[in-house]
Amino acid sequence: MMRTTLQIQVTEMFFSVTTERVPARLNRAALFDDLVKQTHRQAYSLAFRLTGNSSEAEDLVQESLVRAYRFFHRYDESLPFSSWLYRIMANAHIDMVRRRGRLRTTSIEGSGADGSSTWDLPDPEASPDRLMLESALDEPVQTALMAMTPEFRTAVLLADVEGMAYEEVAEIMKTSVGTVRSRIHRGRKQLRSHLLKNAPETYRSLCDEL
Amino acid sequence: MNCKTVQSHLSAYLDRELSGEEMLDIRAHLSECFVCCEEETELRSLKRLLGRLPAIEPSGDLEQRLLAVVGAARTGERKPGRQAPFVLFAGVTACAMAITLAFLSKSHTTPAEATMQSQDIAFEAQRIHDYTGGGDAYGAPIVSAASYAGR
Repeated sequence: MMRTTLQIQVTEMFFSVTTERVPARLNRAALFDDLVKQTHRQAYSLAFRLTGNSSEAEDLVQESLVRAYRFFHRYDESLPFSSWLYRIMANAHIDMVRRRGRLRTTSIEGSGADGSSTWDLPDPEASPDRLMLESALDEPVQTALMAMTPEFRTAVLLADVEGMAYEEVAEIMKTSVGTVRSRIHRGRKQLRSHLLKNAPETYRSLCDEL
Repeated sequence: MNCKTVQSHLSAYLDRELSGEEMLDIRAHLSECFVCCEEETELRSLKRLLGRLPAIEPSGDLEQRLLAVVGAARTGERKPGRQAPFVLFAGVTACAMAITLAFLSKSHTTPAEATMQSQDIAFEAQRIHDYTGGGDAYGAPIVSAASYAGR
């Protein structure tokens, strides 16, 4: 009798495990698809700023999402998914640049000229002059970003464009807050020097406006 | 605090990433040092400028393409075991070798040409292997935008 009860329990356990697996996998797939839908636009924008062109940005987002899916079981839900995805993306980007063994300092596509890129609606509060200056400076900013090392570029973009705290940037870049602080400071100074050298008038006018 | 120390902390000061005491020390220095104050203003403008960069919108079909790629990764994951791709690879390689030998024995192909053909076939076999179940160092399948676009 005992044996029969045990057998029934084991059988029930087996069936409960096997029947739960299928919905869990489906749920996981559906959940991941939702996360892709929610995060891909922002991820693409960051990827474009990191890589400087739309085709590499698409590749980077795609590669990062596939890696994220592979390691989704390790995702800690207490963190925003976008932070986790950015961590994968930042590392994939640095790997990509190192693999290539060179920095892209020329051939900056996009920045409005690229057919696949469109811009946000203008801020109605902003003055027309400032909007014009901002759009005029977008390409020099992207060029200056591409002249930086990937580590500096990533730190500056995460802090200044994504508005993240140093601790969050450190978490994403798997480094210390002190290193992040130094990368952001040196990165901003490099960016400023580049803009002062390549687009001094526009940059100066915009700084006066801001 | 001297100018050098203040200037090295200016970004962290702007980002409010210093201790309360350091923030107060720098603020006190800035109120009496024109050079550091100018530097602070410039870095603040740059930070604002970066914060105002427009978001770049992806092309309309990116979402669908990404979902398709993730879907393909999912399908690859469901393949039973990790042995199947290796068996397939071994089979394809054996066939490639057999075909190469047949070519070498029956045709007048020069050895150099034969090697080229063999390499092409081996490359195709490797590509099939990569696509069906192989992956990169991270276990992710090698599916690039270029290969996706080609499908």
